[in-house]
Order: sequence, then structure tokens, then C-alpha cells
Amino acid sequence: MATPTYDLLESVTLETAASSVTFSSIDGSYGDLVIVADWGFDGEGDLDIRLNSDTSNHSFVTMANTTSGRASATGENGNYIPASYHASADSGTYPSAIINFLDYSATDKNKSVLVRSGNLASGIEAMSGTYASTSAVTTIMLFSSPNMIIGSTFNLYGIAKESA
Amino acid sequence: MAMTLLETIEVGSGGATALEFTDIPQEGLHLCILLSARSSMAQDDNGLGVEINGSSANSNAARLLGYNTTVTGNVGGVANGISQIAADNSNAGLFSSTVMVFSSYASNRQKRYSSESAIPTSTIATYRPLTYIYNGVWNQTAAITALKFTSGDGFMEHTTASIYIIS
Repeated sequence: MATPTYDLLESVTLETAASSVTFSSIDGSYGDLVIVADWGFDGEGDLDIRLNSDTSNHSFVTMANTTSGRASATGENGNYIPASYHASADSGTYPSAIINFLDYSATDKNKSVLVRSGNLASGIEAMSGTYASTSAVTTIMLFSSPNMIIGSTFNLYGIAKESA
Repeated sequence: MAMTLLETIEVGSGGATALEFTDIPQEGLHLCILLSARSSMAQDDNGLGVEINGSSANSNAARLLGYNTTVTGNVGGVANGISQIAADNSNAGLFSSTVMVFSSYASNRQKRYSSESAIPTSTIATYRPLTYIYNGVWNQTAAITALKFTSGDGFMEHTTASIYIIS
């Protein structure tokens, strides 16, 4: 039986500049999560992802095509997975990102994360990350330096994996 | 846009040789497959192949790989390869995440597909993933009614694959 899915779980639009947005107490009944983010900065900056408020266990690989050329970078066992890295946003530009968290509530596997992001001013990039934990993901924090500007939006969707 | 779940495959104890979706309804615009997988093959990571309508022929792709601090890739020569997935030499519990889209799957045109994967490994570097992007073509005009995903030595327990219609 086909089952409609892709439910909006939470939507955040910044009414004041802020350095982070947190989705907490995430419903664990979905199969996968997607975040669609559209934000701006008070200057040049990056946006990062931290799961379950854990300050370690995050690793990543990035690849990008930017106005400075192609680039890649890695990080291991740190406190974030980038949602934007090389394609840093300048003041006045609005980057966007789509972030996938598959099997986020599974307790028998580590979590991997897929990110596509970019903006017209500085480039595009694809990244993947690992959260080396078998704990269910219940909290996702998106954080930046400098602050994200008023009007930045973040939507969290749950994708059903089981038929209703 | 609506995204409708058709089926989820959860691989149980003993693993599975393939992941197969058949009798795919034709009323959608595109197909999306979300795959959390681990190959049974004893290596760091392993190829993921696709058989469309029961055939591994007539497919090819270009791919882009982010690996350590290198971005590389190739155009063609990958036959029916559609991605890479985590495999059995990596630490227990490491599964890759793959998002695949088959666009205009019910049309009478040649079919295009794409995939993006995060492939964590523990032998290249602890938990640091590979990033793969594939963009492929199946040069047949028949509507896609069946998709079968294969990997050398099959898939391990806890692998999950869900197929959705986008309309």
C-alpha cells in the first residue's frame, strides 16, 4: 500500500540574528530526516551541524567547486560536520543546503550524513559525514560564526519508511 | 511535490544477495531510493550495481569522488555501477547512506539517474567517509518497472532500502 510521506516536523525562521538553530526531541518514528536550510550571514562564515550535542565523533569529507577553484577537506572525530565549508557565504548572499540523515533513529548502526550546499556568490559543494555513534539522533544543532541573519529559514522533514 | 512510499526492504539475519523492487507503479514523475547499506564483502567499501528491468546492460555513468583531500572521478567505464557502499572490513555498525533518483522513469525517453553517497570507512581513516556522486544513463526507452540493486557478496543485516514515487 502506497503511503504519503515527507512530513514537516518543524520550521524555524529567525526573527533576530542568531548563531544557532536547534531541533530537539526529534520524533524517532520516521525512517529518515531532511533539513532544507536557506540562510544568510552577518559577514563571511560557515554553517555546521552537531548531533546530540556531542562534541566529538563527527568526521567528514568535502568537495567543492568555488570561485577559488576545486577544493576538498577532511575532519575526524570533531564536533561538527559542515553544512557549508569552502562555499562560505559573504554578507548579503543566501546560501542554501539540503541535508539527509538516513536511519537517524537506528541503534544498530552509526549515522552518515549527506549535504549539498552552495550559493551563487562562492560556489557549490557536496559533503558527507559520519557520526560515529549508535545512539538515535534526537537533537540536531546548526551553528555558525558569525551570526545568521533575520529571515534565515530551516525546515525539518520526516520521511516515513513504514507503511501507515 | 508529493513523495509516496512504495516499499521498504529491511535485510534480516543472514543478509541478502540483492535488493529488488518490482511492479513499480507508473503514475509518478520520478523515483527516489533511500539506502542505508553495508556490503558483506571483506573490503573497505564496495560497488553498488543496478539492474533495470532485469538487465545490467545499457547503463553507464560519470562519477565524482571526494577522498581524503582529493577530488577525482571519471566519465564512463562504470557499466551499471550506481554508487559505492560501506563494506565488511570497516568497523561494525558503519553503514553508508545513499540517495538515488531515477528521473522521468515512466517516460518513453532514455532514463537518467543520479546518486549521492556518504561511505564511512574505518580502514582509510577512522570513520571518515568517502563522498561519491554518480550521474548515469540507461539508454533504453522502456518504462522502468523493476530495480534490483546488487553488491559483491550481498548486503549485511540491518541494511534498509526504501523506494518512493515523486509526483
